[in-house]
Amino acid sequence: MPKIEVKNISKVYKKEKVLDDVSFCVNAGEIFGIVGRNGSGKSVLMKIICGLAAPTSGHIVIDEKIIGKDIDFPENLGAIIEQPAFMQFASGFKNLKFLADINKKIDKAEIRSTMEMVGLNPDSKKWVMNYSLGMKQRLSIAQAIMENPELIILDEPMNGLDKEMVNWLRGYLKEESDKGHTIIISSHIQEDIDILCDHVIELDRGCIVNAG
Amino acid sequence: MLRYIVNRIFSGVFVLSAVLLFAFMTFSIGSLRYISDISGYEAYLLFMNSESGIIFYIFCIILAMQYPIVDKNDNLIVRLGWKKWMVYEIVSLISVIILYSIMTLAFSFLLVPDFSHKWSTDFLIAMSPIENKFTEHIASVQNMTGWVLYGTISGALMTTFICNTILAVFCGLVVFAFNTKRKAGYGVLIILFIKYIPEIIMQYVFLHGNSLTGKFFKYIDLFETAKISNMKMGCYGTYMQMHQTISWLLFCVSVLLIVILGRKKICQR
Repeated sequence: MPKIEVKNISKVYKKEKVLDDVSFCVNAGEIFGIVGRNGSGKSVLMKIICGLAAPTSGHIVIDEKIIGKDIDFPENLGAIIEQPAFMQFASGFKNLKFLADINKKIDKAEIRSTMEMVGLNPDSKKWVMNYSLGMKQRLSIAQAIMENPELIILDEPMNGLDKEMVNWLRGYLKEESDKGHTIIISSHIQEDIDILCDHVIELDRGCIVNAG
Repeated sequence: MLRYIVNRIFSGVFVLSAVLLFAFMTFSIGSLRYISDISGYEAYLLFMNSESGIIFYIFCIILAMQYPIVDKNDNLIVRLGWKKWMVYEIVSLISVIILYSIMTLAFSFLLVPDFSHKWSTDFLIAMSPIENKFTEHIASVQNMTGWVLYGTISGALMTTFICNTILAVFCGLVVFAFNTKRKAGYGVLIILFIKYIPEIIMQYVFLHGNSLTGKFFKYIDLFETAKISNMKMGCYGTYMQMHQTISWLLFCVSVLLIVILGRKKICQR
């Protein structure tokens, strides 16, 4: 199970320091929370952990492998970073099938069960273009969790979800954590963090101002 | 991959570009069916080989500026890996430009629905340097005498179509290469350089005689000669044959692809 070490990460973007010497460690099987105001650097930090952005200095080590050097992306990763782009002229099922076919880890039945789990109808022919914000978020969650990843990185996963779905997602993340899967989550809702997280850091202007 | 490409091609920008192209072509060659006896073949030749043809390149550049789309594509990138995802994007870009080129051809026949497979009288008259008949609609008609004298109308059409499509793909890949490193579409500057600067420099070279005859200018001369002679005179260009031009362009495209794909994390923000 993945253990993540974030070592002295700094990121300068257009001469502005977005992250400044951020270091922390996430143990395997832990739910780790990142909180902070808008523009505090949460999403950039998550992108760097996912290998989707390169830090200006410092590095991310996952199971003793350096991201961007030993591996491009963490192995067995499921992530939501911002609102993912889906094929607008295809159904939710076809979108997930397209993504699942890349690694061929799961079959149609598993895609269907994941969709049902997040409250989407796998038989619906409705194009994603016509999905509501909440449905798109459910689909984003489905694509992140459908391949049973060992590392789950979720940036504001509760956005646009109704109360029932929020409760389901909290329960799901707890279960995954119990299985030993590592989860990093950012949220601006304090309740999510209080209920879910084993450890939390607070970012402000790219610096860790609080850790607990 | 096909599903991804289809999804990438049919964006709002593509639809808008297609509508604007049709509008511009209507303005440019739309009236030719009423005032002349030219065919759809000739309408396409006139449009693409005159200054109006630049509109095709401008829209190809606008389309190419949409590539690669990094933001919000994270779910795909982490699964495919950078390199494979780049291949998807490049294939999408090449497909969209080829489709756009086919649309330009289709619009010509739609606006001038005449399939006569012979050079029309008005087209032959337009070859005359003193004839100004089409200049109200198309900026200039020039250098197509070689086609008329030595080529068939379908041969000229295929030459124009293939050369312009390959050149547009090349321009698109230049924009793509620049956009992977910097997001603001600096590739446009390079396209303008390719399109106009050689002409300015060549004029300067001609004016200043032998004082500027280095290797760099020789290359510009080679490119410009190929572009002008073959794009506007077909396969009977004065210095380079069409297949040589295409070979050069394919070589450049290959080098660009190697550069783009060879840089593993070029897209990382």
